[in-house]
Amino acid sequence: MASDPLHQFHIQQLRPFSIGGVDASFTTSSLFMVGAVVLVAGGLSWAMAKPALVPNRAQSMAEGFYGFIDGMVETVIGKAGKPFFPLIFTLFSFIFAVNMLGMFPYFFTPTAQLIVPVVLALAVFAGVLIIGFAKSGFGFLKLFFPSGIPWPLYFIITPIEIISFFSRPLSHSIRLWANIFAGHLVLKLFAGFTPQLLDLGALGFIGAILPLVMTVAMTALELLVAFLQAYVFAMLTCVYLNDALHADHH
Amino acid sequence: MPESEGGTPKSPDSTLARMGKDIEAAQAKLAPKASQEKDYSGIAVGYRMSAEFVAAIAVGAVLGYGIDWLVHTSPFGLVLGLGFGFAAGIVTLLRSARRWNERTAAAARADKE
Repeated sequence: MASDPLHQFHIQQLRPFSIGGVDASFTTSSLFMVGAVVLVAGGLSWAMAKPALVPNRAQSMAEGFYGFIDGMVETVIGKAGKPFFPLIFTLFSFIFAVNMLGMFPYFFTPTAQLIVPVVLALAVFAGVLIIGFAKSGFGFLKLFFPSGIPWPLYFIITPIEIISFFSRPLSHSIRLWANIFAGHLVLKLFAGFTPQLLDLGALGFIGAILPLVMTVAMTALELLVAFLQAYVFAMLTCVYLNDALHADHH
Repeated sequence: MPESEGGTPKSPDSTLARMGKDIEAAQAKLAPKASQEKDYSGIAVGYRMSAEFVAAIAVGAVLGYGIDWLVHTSPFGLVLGLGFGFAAGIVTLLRSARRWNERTAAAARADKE
């Protein structure tokens, strides 16, 4: 069981039930997503429970976290991005917490299930569409018809713009999923080699050092990836929102 | 930054001002470290571009195939879709690269000043 590198991605139903024939069971995946939400909400409330002018360690961590996302929103969108700060903060902290929880051995990683990043990316995509049309009406469609080019070029530019617009939710979700999935797979593969080589006796014992070193190195890399993917996801959400907010003067 | 007013209402304004100056001085000392931020945003741009290029081609192919399926023009929709997808991928890459250039140029200017 432990040596099967794909076993970690199997979803188990913890509380099976269905709503109108649709399977809506509470699974290991749900458990870790709820865990991440509780961790973030609980952790931040605890850190900010007694706010002081001179922050203690927990409070300055929470403030640093807030300031980091605030800075990102401000650099990408500018002042107009303020109303979207809660969205970006929630997305970043959720993905970050889920990825980090997944780094514990024997824990489940919901972001390694394609459906989780896809739903998040589609929600952002739908939000961008709604905000774009609400903000600039049909002027939002100027995104597909950039001004200042001779008209025959529209036959080429418009399909390209449409494809590049609709490829956003795909690249947005696949990137997060693929990085976490592949990272956990490789990590588990190398980790699995160590006990297998140990079974081979004295020579295997020496050989087992190599995958062990690799596992340690991969763990460090995966911790970086867990952060980076959450960062990239949140930053791209900012970029897309920025396009939606400034569609009419494109 | 969430300000926590009223945390220590007794402290006089002069202490506050002094603390503010201390913080500014400390932040100024730490400022060179802020350039580390660029390092991981470099990796972030790398991750971004690699996925964007592939996604554009995939979406182009799927859209082309969808048009084929709707109006029975197989395989021309797929071929055109792949071509446009490839072009869209390049356009997205160039756009990301331009944004990255602008940002690093702005950061370099800010560093010099």
